[in-house]
Amino acid sequence: MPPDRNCRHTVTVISVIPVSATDLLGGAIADLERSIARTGWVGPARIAYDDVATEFRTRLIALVIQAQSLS
Amino acid sequence: MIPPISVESNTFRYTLDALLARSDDLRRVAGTVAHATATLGISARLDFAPGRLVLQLELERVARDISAVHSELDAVIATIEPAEGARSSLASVSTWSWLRPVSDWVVDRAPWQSDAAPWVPVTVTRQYDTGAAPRNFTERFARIPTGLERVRIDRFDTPTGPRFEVYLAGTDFAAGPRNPWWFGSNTELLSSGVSRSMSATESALRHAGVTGTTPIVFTGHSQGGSIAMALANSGRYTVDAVFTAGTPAGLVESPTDVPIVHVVHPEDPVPALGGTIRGTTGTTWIVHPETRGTGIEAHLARNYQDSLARIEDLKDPELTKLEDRLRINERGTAMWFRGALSE
Repeated sequence: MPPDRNCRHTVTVISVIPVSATDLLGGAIADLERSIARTGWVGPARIAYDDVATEFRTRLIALVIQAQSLS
Repeated sequence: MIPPISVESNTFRYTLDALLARSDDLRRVAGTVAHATATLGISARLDFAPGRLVLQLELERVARDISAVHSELDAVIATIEPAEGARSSLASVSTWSWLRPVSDWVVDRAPWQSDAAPWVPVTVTRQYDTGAAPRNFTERFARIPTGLERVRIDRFDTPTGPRFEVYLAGTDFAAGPRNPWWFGSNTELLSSGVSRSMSATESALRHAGVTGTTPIVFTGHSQGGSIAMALANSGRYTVDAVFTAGTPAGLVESPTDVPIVHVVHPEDPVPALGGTIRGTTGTTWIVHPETRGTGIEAHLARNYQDSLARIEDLKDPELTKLEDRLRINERGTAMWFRGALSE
């Protein structure tokens, strides 16, 4: 199909804010720490949640160390 | 599966808030990790490095795992929220404004309130050696009578004097107003803080030899739990603990300085009928029944019995400490009671 000479082209310029993956992961780890430290809930479900969130935190810390070694 | 939830304050709102806050936390973390994964993916493509690709895959796996836990938490919230909605709306003024006249009407016509019949009489139907005392909430709950007998009292003569375990059945939905445990007793409790079922229970207590100084532990299902709380709050008895399951606890004021343990199925509408629990003491356990029945199915004593066994399995330190403190080593005598108002 021949190009339509009358077509309008839109050019979008995407501004890229340089955010490093390690900074983002650092924020996620801090969020998890805050979540674990929240008060106002006791009992086995709280313990189960804290265990899971702590495990995620540990996994993310290990990945941040890995990312830093690659950069 | 999220295990039974124990809440030290007595409101569902409290639990729901705690769950909602953590659900938000996990959603945000999952989003951030996904963003980090995408950022890493772009840099890995711009500057090819196998290590970054491996890292990217690992991050994708973590983000998936976090999202899975987040979904599980949201499923729990979705089940609790309807119960919270029912509780809030039933506790609102608009609901009570039409319920209160009904309660007042019932109380005005309550025959037990006349001077001639201040006490609802009860009859002892059976009495025999009960064997060992109950060791925990589950064993106490299993002793709540069924059928026409609505009160069971176990008396234990210990070296420090007599001690009593009192088990109270709930509303008899098939009964009419001559039966103290008919439905109207709930509105009597709400309106005046006393009811014919409560009066019948006090008759049984007197018959069993309970005085103002003998230690009692109350265990009640449904309306039986509300009666237990009202009696504990009356100041007329020395109450060591109150255990309730499926109870509309908001019908009466919660006693202070008495350990209270409530167990509630979020699917059970009866606890919501009591409105918001009045008072700040006690522990409420919110647990889903094994079979996710709703309505009256979730209210049945046998379903609460199963849930109590699951809670006992958790060996919660606070609950275990309370149960150990209430332990009785002596054998006792069990008495069953039924009550009826005369014509």
